[in-house]
Amino acid sequence: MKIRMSFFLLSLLASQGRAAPVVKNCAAISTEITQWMGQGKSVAASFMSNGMLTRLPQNRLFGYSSYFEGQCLNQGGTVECNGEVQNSHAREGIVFDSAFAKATKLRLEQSGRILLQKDSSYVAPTTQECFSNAQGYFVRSSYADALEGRIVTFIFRKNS
Amino acid sequence: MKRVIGLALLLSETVFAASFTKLDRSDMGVSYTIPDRVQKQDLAVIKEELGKKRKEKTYYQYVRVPTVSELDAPHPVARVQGRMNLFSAQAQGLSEPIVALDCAAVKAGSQAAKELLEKIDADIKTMEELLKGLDTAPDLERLAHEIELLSQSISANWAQVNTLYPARWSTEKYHLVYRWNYPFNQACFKQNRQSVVPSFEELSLPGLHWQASSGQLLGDFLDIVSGPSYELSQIGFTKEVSLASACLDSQRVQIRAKASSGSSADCPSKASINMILDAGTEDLTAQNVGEKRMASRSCPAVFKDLRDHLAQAHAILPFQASSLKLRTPDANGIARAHGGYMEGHLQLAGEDLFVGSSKKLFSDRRVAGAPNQKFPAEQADDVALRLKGNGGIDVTLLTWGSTLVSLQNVSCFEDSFGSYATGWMQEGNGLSEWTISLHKGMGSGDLIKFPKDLIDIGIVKPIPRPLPLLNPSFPVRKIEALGGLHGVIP
Repeated sequence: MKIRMSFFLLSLLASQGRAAPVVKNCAAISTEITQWMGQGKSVAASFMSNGMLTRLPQNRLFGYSSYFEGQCLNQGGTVECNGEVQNSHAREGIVFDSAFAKATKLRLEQSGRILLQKDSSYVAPTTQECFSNAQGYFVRSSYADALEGRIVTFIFRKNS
Repeated sequence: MKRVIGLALLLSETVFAASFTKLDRSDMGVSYTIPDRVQKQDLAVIKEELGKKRKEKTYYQYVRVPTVSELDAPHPVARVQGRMNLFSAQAQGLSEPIVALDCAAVKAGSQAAKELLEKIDADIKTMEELLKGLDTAPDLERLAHEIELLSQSISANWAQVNTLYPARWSTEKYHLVYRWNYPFNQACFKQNRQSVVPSFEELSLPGLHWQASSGQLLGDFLDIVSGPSYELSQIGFTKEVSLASACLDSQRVQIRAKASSGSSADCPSKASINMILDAGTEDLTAQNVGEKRMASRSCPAVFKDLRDHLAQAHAILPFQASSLKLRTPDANGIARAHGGYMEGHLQLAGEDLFVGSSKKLFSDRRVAGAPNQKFPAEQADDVALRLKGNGGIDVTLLTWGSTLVSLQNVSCFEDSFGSYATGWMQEGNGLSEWTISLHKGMGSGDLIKFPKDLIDIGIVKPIPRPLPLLNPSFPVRKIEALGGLHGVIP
């Protein structure tokens, strides 16, 4: 506890005056990530998703989260990231049971739109906001269909 | 207008030509033939031409397709409400925009067109009555003039019909997509994580009845574009409709489906579920409006709405809070990212919504012996969360000396499922984006239980039904217009 406290307080103090994330054009993010890759740098992607859907019994609302980590490749101008996603409620009693992680993909289009793989197709966001800071990019997207709504936050960062 | 008939008549030594125009809206089941230009020499030909047609009264009427009949189902069954949405026929997937229906305009146009068509019917009937007296008419010039005025009136009303109720509403095709979540899958979600896919056994929608046991495929029916499909954790099918049909006809559907799970360590009860999948009990406009896209809303208003909800008896407010952090570069120059997650129930605390302590899990922590297990519960932090009446959000890091951090740039959103609050947490070692999802609940919370209507496989019995229609869907109806040609409503 003491070690954690000391480290955190130092960290918090160091954050004073740190610049907030800057709103960024989503297409520009796609362009810059592609340029990174063109320089031989690898790019990693992560996302955290907060979703809500209706479910039995009695069509109650149910909330859950998903976490993704993956590596990205340039596929003809589209950044495609392959990785694993795991669900907060894949199993009773264990939140985010890694044994039930499954492979998935996401695509960052040249337009900046991020498509998420869902089974055999991709779903497009209904809204999207993009931000950047010195370390990488944040994208906050929302996805919705008739049965589920969610906000997904992405991070794209240079591996090296 | 299309000129389709040209008749020549030899009278004495003079040639007179009588021409006719066919007014045709087969989509509405009407077709009329009217004279273009009426001179007294043409009256006999006009009388003969119009006299060929049947005289029975055939006002335009929009005959509704029958409503869906209740499916027989063994007891017990689960009833599951799905959604139907209209997409362009060219849409490549469900992520394409849903077609925004203005059914009020279609309904108003349909009613106005119906009234105009009834006027046309009446004018044609008057025209025929006048022509009956042709042989004894004292003034043929005047009779021709009256027939011409009637014809002009019909033409004008016809033009109005085409404006108020354009043919494209009936002819342009759209895809009506019906979808349901896998009910059985969700019922087992926490318990055994099995993906048990339901299968269609029987389907009934207006004018169509199908049974899997007949050996016929659902796609054999003309109006069924695709399906049943079992993708996106959803079961569904797609039907082709026009805008007019989407707004004016019943699109309700009932499906009897069945899902069965096998025994496994996590799900010891070998069971099956019979379900009736309903969609479209309300009209399609309401279904589309119900699917509200994510929209911004002020945080104080959202939090007040949630407080008002919690003030009700038996109300609960479950939440999930996730964070995604991009760290400052480590000693090797690598900026790492990790996720965090916590859940719980918020309580009323004056003007705030509050949870005193919740376990927050992190993707980058590990415990001995489980190097691949992210988010280990043993390495959780204790965190308190406060959604303040003024729209701010405070996070208290209990494990870190109860340090209080206020999220920055807090924004709130709503969709048809619940509310979301987002904000940024700046720390010395990186920047986190927080998203909190909030959904109103009642009663015992979100504990997931098997539905009571789970029954053993052996109890499920086939349901006897009459043979399905061999041919598609909507019955063919003929409507004949006075003095006109036959029309067909598909």
